[in-house]
Amino acid sequence: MTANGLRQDWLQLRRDLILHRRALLPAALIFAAFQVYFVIAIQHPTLWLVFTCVYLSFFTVIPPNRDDRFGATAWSCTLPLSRADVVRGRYVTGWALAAALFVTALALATFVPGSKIPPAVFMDPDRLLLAAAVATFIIALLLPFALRFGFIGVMLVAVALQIAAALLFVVAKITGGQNSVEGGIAAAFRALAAGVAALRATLSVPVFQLTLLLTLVLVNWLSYRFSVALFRRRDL
Amino acid sequence: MLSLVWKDIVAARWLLLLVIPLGIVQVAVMSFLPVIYIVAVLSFAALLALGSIAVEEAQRTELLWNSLPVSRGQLVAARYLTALIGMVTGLALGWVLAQAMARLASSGADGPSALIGLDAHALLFGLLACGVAVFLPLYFRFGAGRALLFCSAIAVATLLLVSLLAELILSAKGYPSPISDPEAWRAAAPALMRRLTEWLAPRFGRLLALFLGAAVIVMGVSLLISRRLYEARDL
Amino acid sequence: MSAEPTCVLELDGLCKRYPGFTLADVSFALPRGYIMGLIGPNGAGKTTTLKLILGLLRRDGGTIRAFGLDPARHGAAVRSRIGFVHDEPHFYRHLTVAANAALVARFYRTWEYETFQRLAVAFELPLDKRFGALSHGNRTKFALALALSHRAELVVLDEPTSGLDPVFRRDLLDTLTELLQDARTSILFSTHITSDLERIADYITLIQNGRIVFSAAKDEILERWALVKGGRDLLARLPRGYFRGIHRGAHGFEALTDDAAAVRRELGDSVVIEATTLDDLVLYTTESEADA
Repeated sequence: MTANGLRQDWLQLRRDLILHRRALLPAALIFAAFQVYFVIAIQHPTLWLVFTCVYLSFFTVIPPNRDDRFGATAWSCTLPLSRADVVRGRYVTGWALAAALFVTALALATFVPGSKIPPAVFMDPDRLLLAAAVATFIIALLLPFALRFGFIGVMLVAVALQIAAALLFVVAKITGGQNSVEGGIAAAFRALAAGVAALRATLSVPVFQLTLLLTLVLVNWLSYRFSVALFRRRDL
Repeated sequence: MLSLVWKDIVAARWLLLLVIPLGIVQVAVMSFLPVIYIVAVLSFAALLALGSIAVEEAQRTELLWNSLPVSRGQLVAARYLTALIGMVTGLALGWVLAQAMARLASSGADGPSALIGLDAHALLFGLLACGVAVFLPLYFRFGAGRALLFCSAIAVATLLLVSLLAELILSAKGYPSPISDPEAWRAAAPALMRRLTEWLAPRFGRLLALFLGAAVIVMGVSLLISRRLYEARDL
Repeated sequence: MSAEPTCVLELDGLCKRYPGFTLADVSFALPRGYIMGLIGPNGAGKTTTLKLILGLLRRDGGTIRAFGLDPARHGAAVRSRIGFVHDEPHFYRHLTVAANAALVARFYRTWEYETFQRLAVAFELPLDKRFGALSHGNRTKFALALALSHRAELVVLDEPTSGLDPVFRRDLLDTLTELLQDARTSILFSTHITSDLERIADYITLIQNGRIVFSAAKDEILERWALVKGGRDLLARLPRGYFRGIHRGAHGFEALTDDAAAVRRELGDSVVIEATTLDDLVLYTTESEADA
């Protein structure tokens, strides 16, 4: 990452925030209003964290979708930027938005009267890594298809995720011999949690956290490379 | 007006060819999970109802249709008719699939649930109709992007209002609050659900009919409002 | 039974207000069977005027009568007799040309499939190609073919020839002239390419900053308006506002007058009076606004 590359990313981030502020600000306000309700209603910090990260991950596709609608994607590619630079700019903007919204959610959880999310939650590196993992998983899946196919791509990913999750649960029901699918869901999550806990115990906590962090960075990088490959094939 | 509905179908046919098979798989698989099935079938029906709007917005063909010999009233009415056809098709497909999947299920533990029955789909139709009745006037006044934003704001505001009302009603009836006293609520909730079910069961048919009638009236009022808004709009 | 009005289009005191721009007191009439050119610099209000005629915008004042009807109240009836070409035609990019045409054709009772086929062949339109894959020029040709395929009594063209090659532009102008042979069809043609209007237009309307500068028969305009050239000392003696738009050079001036006969009488041989073109009219009247 050169100094020029960083400068280009900053300029693209700035451009996206200026161009799309009329859509992002109202959406962020609605997100904040929902968070006010959510932190009062929900007692389970992990559930709050996962749901919030899923919600804010979908904000990352707002700038590319709006650019497609207004024909600005083609214009971006006429600037002295390569397609890889444009894609990288999208990821930077996406993560900047996600981070800003996450900080907003944390602030609301801390300061809203009646909030059931204890501030200690935010000091826990495991929970922060979980948030990063959820956001990474969704953004890594969403952005390549959003950049290549636009709104249809976002829809495809959302539907594919639902179908995959439902199929997994059905498989868990059949193979696990569960009497109810709800039992199968719980069993699947328990198995996942047990696997992660075993890995954590094997590697020791700091090594596990570092490994997880590096894995997330790798997933992001792979998603970025995939996006570049798809975007290069797109006629504008 | 039927020509306008036809053009919505033709214009969105690639979207429909994508949405319908995926939606069928999604709905069929999720019929094993009744609560999640409701979300799946609602989103499937909503996409069928309003997907052509996404195509129109992306292709910017609004000016084209308004330059043809059709009145704005006809454009509005056709949009509502398209939405109605989409909703009914989506929900009907969902119901047929859910029944078929439930009967194919090997174990009786996951047999047909009341949540995927005809009454439930009728209720979903009413809910969807109310959602469309809110969205379409905003769409005709502000365009699809801003309409979605306003609808999100309305949804969050409704959620806040409903939870506040629920708190007040529960408090008036002497029940603990699920927000401020969750432990007591968890203990009292089963008894409350039982009482609610006992009260609702004999009246459900009538209430459902009333709700559906109200939803139809709301759609009608929404159509009139949309027409006024669209006729007053500069393109 | 009432007779059809002799003017297909009558605008009287038309007014539309936007923040930062006002279309004010726009009045002109287009007789049946004639071509009117609508000219003016960018942002003058040409497209706004055309959209008001089609009923796409609500007017803030004045009246519009198209075929004796008000487009605001009888929009569908008016538009069934109008063929319109937008400056940027938008159709479904993922559908073929033929599929787009089939969608539009259903809305016109007077649609003539044979005419559309004939025009598609004449315009060399690939009917089985996706609209999104067409060049800008071909998209305009497609929009033109649609506009001319339902026996429209008024054809309204918003910058139709920009993006078209000179050969097709010539053919299009010939096609439009042929349309007028039946004395039933009228054409309202907004364009920057004024040479096209000098070839075929009967009437010219110049709009500037939302106001009509003139609306009259082309021959009358080209007779009344003229370019005047003379020395700078002469310019200093003339009252301000004597000319419409002045170019000052090192040794003399070029200016536009809307009364060539009067200038000839008053200034005689001290100036050279030359015929003007529509381009000059737009150029000099625009600079006249800037000068003021």
